[in-house]
Formats: sequence, C-alpha cells, structure tokens
Amino acid sequence: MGRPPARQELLQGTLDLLVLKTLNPGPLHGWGISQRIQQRSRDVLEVNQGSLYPALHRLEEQGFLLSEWRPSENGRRARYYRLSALGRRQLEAETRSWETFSAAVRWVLESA
Amino acid sequence: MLAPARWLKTLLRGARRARFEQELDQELRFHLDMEIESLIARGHPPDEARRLAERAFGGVERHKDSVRDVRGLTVLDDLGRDVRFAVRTLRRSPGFVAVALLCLGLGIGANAAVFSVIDAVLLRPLPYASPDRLVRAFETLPARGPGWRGAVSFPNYEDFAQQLTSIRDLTAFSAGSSNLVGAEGAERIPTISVSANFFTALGVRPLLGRGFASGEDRPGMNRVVVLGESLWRRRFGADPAVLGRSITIDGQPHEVIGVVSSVFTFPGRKSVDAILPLDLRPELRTGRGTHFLGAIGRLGPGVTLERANADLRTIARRLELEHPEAQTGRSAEARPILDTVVSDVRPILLVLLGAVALVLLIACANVANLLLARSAGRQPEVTLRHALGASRARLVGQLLVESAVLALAGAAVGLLLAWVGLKALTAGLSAGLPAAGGIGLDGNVLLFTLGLSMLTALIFGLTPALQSTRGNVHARLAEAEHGTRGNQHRLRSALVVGEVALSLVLLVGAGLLVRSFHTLLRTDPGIRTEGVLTGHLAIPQGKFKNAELSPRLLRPMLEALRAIPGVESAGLISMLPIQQAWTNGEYAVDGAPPPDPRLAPAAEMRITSPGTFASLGVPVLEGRDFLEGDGLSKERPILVNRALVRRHFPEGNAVGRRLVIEGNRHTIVGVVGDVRQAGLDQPPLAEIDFPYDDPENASWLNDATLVLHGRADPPALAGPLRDITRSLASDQPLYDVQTMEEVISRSVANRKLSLVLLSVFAFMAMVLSASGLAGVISYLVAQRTREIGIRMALGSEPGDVIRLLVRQGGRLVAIGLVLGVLGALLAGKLVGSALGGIQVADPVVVAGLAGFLGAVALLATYLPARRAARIDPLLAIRAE
Repeated sequence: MGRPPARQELLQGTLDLLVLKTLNPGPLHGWGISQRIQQRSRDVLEVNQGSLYPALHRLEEQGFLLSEWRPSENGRRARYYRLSALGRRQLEAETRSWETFSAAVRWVLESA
Repeated sequence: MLAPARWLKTLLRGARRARFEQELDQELRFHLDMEIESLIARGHPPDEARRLAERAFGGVERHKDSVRDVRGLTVLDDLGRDVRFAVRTLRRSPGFVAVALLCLGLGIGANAAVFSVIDAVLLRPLPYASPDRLVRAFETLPARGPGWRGAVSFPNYEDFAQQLTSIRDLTAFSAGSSNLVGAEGAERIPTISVSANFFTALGVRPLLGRGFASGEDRPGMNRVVVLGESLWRRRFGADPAVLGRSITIDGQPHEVIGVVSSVFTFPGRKSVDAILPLDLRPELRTGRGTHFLGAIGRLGPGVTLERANADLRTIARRLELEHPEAQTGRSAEARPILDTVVSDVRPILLVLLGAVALVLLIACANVANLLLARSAGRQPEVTLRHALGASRARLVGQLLVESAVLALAGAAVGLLLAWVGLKALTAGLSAGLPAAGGIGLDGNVLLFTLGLSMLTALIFGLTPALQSTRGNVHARLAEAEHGTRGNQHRLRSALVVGEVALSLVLLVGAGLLVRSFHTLLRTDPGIRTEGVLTGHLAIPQGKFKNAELSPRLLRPMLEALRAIPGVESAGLISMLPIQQAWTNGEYAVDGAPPPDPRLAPAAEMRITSPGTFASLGVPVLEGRDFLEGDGLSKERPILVNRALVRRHFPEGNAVGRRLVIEGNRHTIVGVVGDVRQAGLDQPPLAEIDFPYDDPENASWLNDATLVLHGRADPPALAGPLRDITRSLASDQPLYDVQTMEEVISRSVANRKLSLVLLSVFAFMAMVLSASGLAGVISYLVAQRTREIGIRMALGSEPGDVIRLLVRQGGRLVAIGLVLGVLGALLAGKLVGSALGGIQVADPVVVAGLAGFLGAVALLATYLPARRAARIDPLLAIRAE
C-alpha cells in the first residue's frame, strides 16, 4: 500500500485530527467537513479535496469513521461520515497529543 | 484491524468494484456541485462558478486514484493485470505448462491425499464434544514398567467414578459383538456396552430418541438399546417409528430408545451397530481382579492431566490398602484419549507425510529447473521491461504471480489426482484407522492445498525470479546475446544433485519397508497357513445352560464337521492366533514359592477343543492333546505352550505338573508349540489352554472360532461348513469365514498399504528426478549445439560427444547419490525408530537402490546425449 513521503505525515496527522473533531458533534458529508474546517479556522485553513477524500477513506478503513448514504439538506443523496466508538477514543488521544505538541512548540518559541 | 481481515475486505471491495467506483464518483461529484452552488449563491454566474470550482477542485481522476490507493485497490489492480499477463504468457508455451502441471499435480496431489488422511485420522478422529479434554483411564502395574496399561475391573471403575474429583463423568465401556435375530435372519453386529452416563460423558447426542437414563445399566432394569445409524437404515429402512419397538439381541427383547448418527465412531471399531447398557454377570460386577473394562472421562474445568493422574494414583493407593488381595502392586493412569486412539497409526502417517513432502520438493526442483531454462529465453523481454523503468520488485512480483498461477493450476490437477487416489486408498484401508468424519477432500484439505500451492510457488519461483532479474541493465543487455551464465548453470546442477539425493532417500525408505515386510511374511507364525478354513460362531449368552453348551451344540457340530469329505481335522478356539493378545491372566506354579504379587507371571488363556491344534498345525511336543471329557475331569487338565515351559520347567518334565489359576489346581497334560498370538511382528507369548467342554468355560465361547483343516481347497469347505452350522444352530450366525492365509494377510494389511504407498511415492520421486535430469542434459545440449558441431567438424566421433555429455551428467548423479546415501542413513535413523522392526542401514538395500537409481539417471542423460551426437555439424555451426 502506498506510503506518503515523510514530509506530509505531519500535515496528514493534523488533517485527521481536524476531521475527527469536526465530526464529533454529528454526521457530515465531505463538503460539509471542508466548509466547517474553513469556517472554524476563520478561513486560515483551506482543505484540499485531494487530501480530504483519501483521508476520509483511510480513517474509515482504519475503523475510526463509519459512513452511510442519505439525503442531504438540498435533497441530493450524499455520503455522510460519523465517528465510531474507536474514532471517539482516537479523537481524545490525538487531541491530547496535539495539545502536548503545541504547548511544547510554544515553550520553545517563548523561551528563545 | 488484523491484516488478513483487512485483505479480505479489500478483496470483497474488489469483487464489488463497479459499485465502489460509482459511489466514489457520486461522492466527489456531490462535492463539486455543492461548491458550484455556493459560488452561485455568492453571486458568480453559473459558467464561471463551474470553472472556478473545477479549478479549485483539481484533477478528479487523481483524487480517485489516491482513494483507491488508500482502499488497497491499486495493489489489487496490479495483481489482476499480472495474473492476466501471466495467463497470456503461459498460454504461449503449452509444452512447458504441461510438464510443469504434471510435476506439480503429482507433488501437490500426493500431499493433498496424505493430508486428508492425516486430517481425518490425527486431527479429528473422534466425534465427541471437546475431545482434547477426554482422557482414558487405565489400571497399571508399575513393576511391569511404564508402558504397561491394562483394563479396569468393575468395582475399581465404580470406586474411581465416585472418588475422582478431577475427572468428571467417568464412563465404562466394553466392546463386543451381539446376535441380532429378526425376520431377515440372524446377524452378528458390532456393539459396545456402556455405563448409563456414556452419552453425557462424551457429549454425544442421539440422532433420534434419547441416550440412556441414569440407572438403566443396573441389573433388573428393562433392556434398552440405542441403534447405530447404518443398522437403522439397513435393517429398519430408516423408519423413525423404530423407537419403542422391541428387537431381539442375544436372545433377549430390547426396546429401541434411540438412534445415533453414523458419524459416531468408537476407538478401535470400524462401526458400531448398537449401544447397550452394561449388563454384567454377578461375578464380573463383584470381581475386583477381573479387568476387562475401558474407562473414559472428562478432565474437570482447569484441571491438568498431571493433577488428574495424581488424583488417580491417590485413589489407587487407597484401594491397594483396602483390597490387598486384588490390588497389591496396581496403580492407575490417565492418558489423553486422542493419544490412545491414534498412537498406532501416527508414526506411519507422519512418515508418509515426510515422503510426500520430499516428492513435492523434487517436483519443485523440476519446475524451478524448467523456469530457469525458460528465463534464459525470456531474458531479453525481462531486460527490456527493466530498461523501460519497471522496478526489480515489480518484475520479481510479476514472475512470482506467474509461478502462483502455475502452482494454482497444478493444485487443481493435484486435487483431481488426490480424489482418484483417495478412492483407491480408502478402499484399501482396513478397519484399523480411526477416522470419525470419513476421509475425503473437504474444506480443510482444500485450504491446506491452497496454502501449499502458494508455498510451492514461492519455493520453485523465487530463485528463478531473483536470478533472472539480477545485475544491472547494461550487463544483462550484453549478456542477453550470449544466453545463459555460469551461476545459473551451477544452480541448475545443484537442483539436479538435490533431486537425485532426495529420490534416493525415498527409494531407500521404501526399500527398507519392503524388505522388513518380506522378513515379516517369512516369520514362522507357528501355525499351518495352507488348507485351513476358519469361521466365527456366535453363540448368544444364556441360550444354552453352561453344562449343555458343548454336549448339545459344540460336540455334535465338531463331529459333523469332521465327517465332511475332505476334512482331516476340526476344532474350535476362543480366539485365533495372529489377532490380538487380549486374555492375559495370572497363574502360579503349584508348589513353587509364592512369587512377588507385583510380578505374578501371566499368560494368554485360550479355550480349545480336541483337534484344534491338529487343525492349526501346532505340534503336540509332549504329552497329549485334549480328549473329549477333559473338561469334566477332576484333574482339570490343561495344555501349555513351549514359551511357558521354558519359563518354569527348563529341565523338561512339564507334563504332570500343576498350575494354580484363580484358586484351582490344573494339571498339565500336554505341551504344544508356540504360536504368535498377537500378530506376526509380536513374539509368541506364554499360553495356557483350557478344555472347551468344561462348563465353567462356556462363557468364553460365545464368540468362538471354528477351525477346519482339509485336503480339499479351503474355500470349497465353506459351503458344507455353513450348511452344518445352519442345520445345528439356525439362529446363530456364522461370520467372517476366511482361510488362514486371509487371516494373516488381513493382519498385515495396514503395513502392506503403507508399504505400497511409500513405494508409489518413491517411484514418483524417481521418475520426476530422472525427467529433471534429462531436462538439464537436453538443455545443455541445446546450449552447446554450436560447440558440439565444431567438435564433430574437427573429427570427434559421436561416441566422444555422448561420453562427454554423459560424463557431465554422471558427475551430478554421483554427487547426488553420495548425498542421498548420507540422507538415507539419517532419515532411516529417524524413521526406523518410528516404525520399529526395521534394520536401518541395510547395505544390500542401500547399495542396490543407489545402483538402480544411478542406472536410471544415466539412462536419462544418455538419451538426450545420443540425440546430440546426431547433430549435423554444418547446421549446428550455422545455427547461431
């Protein structure tokens, strides 16, 4: 199975965390996820479709997400993703590790 | 997620590929449309909105590819492409494919066949609930050594069953046979008698009706029976209304309360037609010293075998203190029932498995050789693909896929061969194999074969694949011009050497078995084998009073048999020789100091009539044979055999001496020759014979064997024998009528089968390796056509060319033979101890077979070499 080069790993990990967080309140389709991340980040983060959909499928493959087809707000059928129990635990773990990481980065930046 | 589960999911997705693609497309399109709508809502005209959205979205196909990657479908696509490519490539060389499939089919087929026997016999021999928790309990005599395990007496069984806490549901059984009498005539059926908790203990549920209720094995209860499925179908037309019917077994009405599936089998029995509650005569019920029962129980939850054994020993010690007269020196032991059931056949099956594994290895070496030869031809293609940018891993993968396709097709051929082979095999198997579910190509075997074929592909495919993709492109582009390289040639030679060595190992193994089998057949059984006819006579218990059995039935019958024209003598015996050692009883020499009770001498005990030994051809060495009326004599006459005389009366004068058996004094009136009671491969045991007309012996004769010796051909006596038994005892079936030659050949049938199988496998190995050798030499010839042409143009005779090539092949053969002899000695050591009674380093066998294999191998090099010598020099030189 194709392994992405190391440089993207950090980026991908972050995207995974954002996707999981976005789905925490309830199910959403891919477009909804990208919209919400953009809104919540005050338009700082723009999600590239080319990484969003592989990420969604990978997270489902790993068992963190479940998906189903159902009518969307405009009546068209769309694929909705939601967190699985495993995904909820993964969200907690990744949130913690992100907080540790960003705190550490901040300490370094502030001390210098 | 576990890797296999994940792969399964990927495969399933691959199977529903169209739906996956459609959904992916819909998902991405939905995103794009939403984007467009939102742009329109923000005031962009539709056309512009679409353009903007599409530019932002990027390449749809690239996104899809990323998703397919994530879902594992890319690998699947590659695999599919490789498989199609492999099939196309293989179809272009039908000759190669045919030879490879034949090799693989033989190798894999032999493995599948042997595995299906092993699967049925060693892996799931017993149709009981969690059989690994079942143990068989034995009484033991520690002074006789650790291998001695005997049956359990009924009082001991009851004490064990009550006091054991670590083994639950201890159930007792006794295997036998009974007479079933009905409108269709009398029939002897195999039965087992069991204690009432039998069905619960083994976890067996009847197909119909019920098993025994608690207490149904006590004396005085209504007689009930559970039928076996095959009897139910055969005699009762599979009628469910058989429940509640009364049938006559051994002269007594029994109510049918259940039917048990034919999947139910019992250790040591080919089939069970009826299961009866243990109905014991009072003397058996109370005889603590009469050991005749088997006992099976279930280890309690979490209990180890060691703890159960400690528990058993404690109880045995208590019994020893409470009942010193019967229990002194006796202990008890439990063993896993699977061990006790399969211990006889396990070694030979494992040897056969080893043999077929070698055959498969040889087949792999052959196919690897073919692939190497082929890869030389394909070098330009592979090199070109490499030059065009295919990675080495990808190229190796592609070549391995080709091997896998080949191996799978080989497995299909192999399964076909195994199916045919198994039909022949199971027909040849005697009753001795404990196989509950029957032997056949079931799911387990298919799975095994699939796994094996993948492994096979790796074994024969990896080296050639690595070989042909080695080195850098430039070097190989240059080499492609000149065909094969040195190291490839060495590899192929090594494969041939290995094949010859492995074949010799197999041939020697088979040769040693053949030789030991012939030695066995030449063993003097102690009895006459020609002109003897035997037949079992089933006499129901209770049909005759003990005192009437011989005057009213047996004696008139023997007299009528002796009157048949052509019959020289006739007699009967409680159990024929060459069957089993079973009736082991203790005795003491009268007047001798009492022996240590733990080492009391024991002998086989048989009941015989006047004329029995004359019919069997066993000489009366001293004194006389039994006479009519001996059974009523106050002297209690007995006969003993030479083995017993040697043990106690080495100076000779045994006649007139007395033995004490079960408290009675018996006088020795004659000494007879030794016979091998337990089989040709077992030494003669000490034996004591009792007269058939002693009323006390009547109960030992309910399954006696009639023995006739005649001038006439034995089969011709079968008709009169049947007529006489029918006229004198119409409701007592005569069964298993066979000549003594048949009795003996049946006793060695399993050995013979394993011998035939091993010989077949060794022959396969030899043919495979000879063809491999021929292949290598032909290839050498093809490679050196030009050289040979030049040699001949320069004046070499065809003979010189042949000698050159044969010498080259001969060197490989010689190395292979040397390695093979070493391997055979090593394997012989391992196998000899497993099979027993085989002389491992038999120089005649080893040298003879090495010479034979060498000759075959040289022939295999000579034939292609001769073809080379016919080359037209001019054509050969021009060829390149």
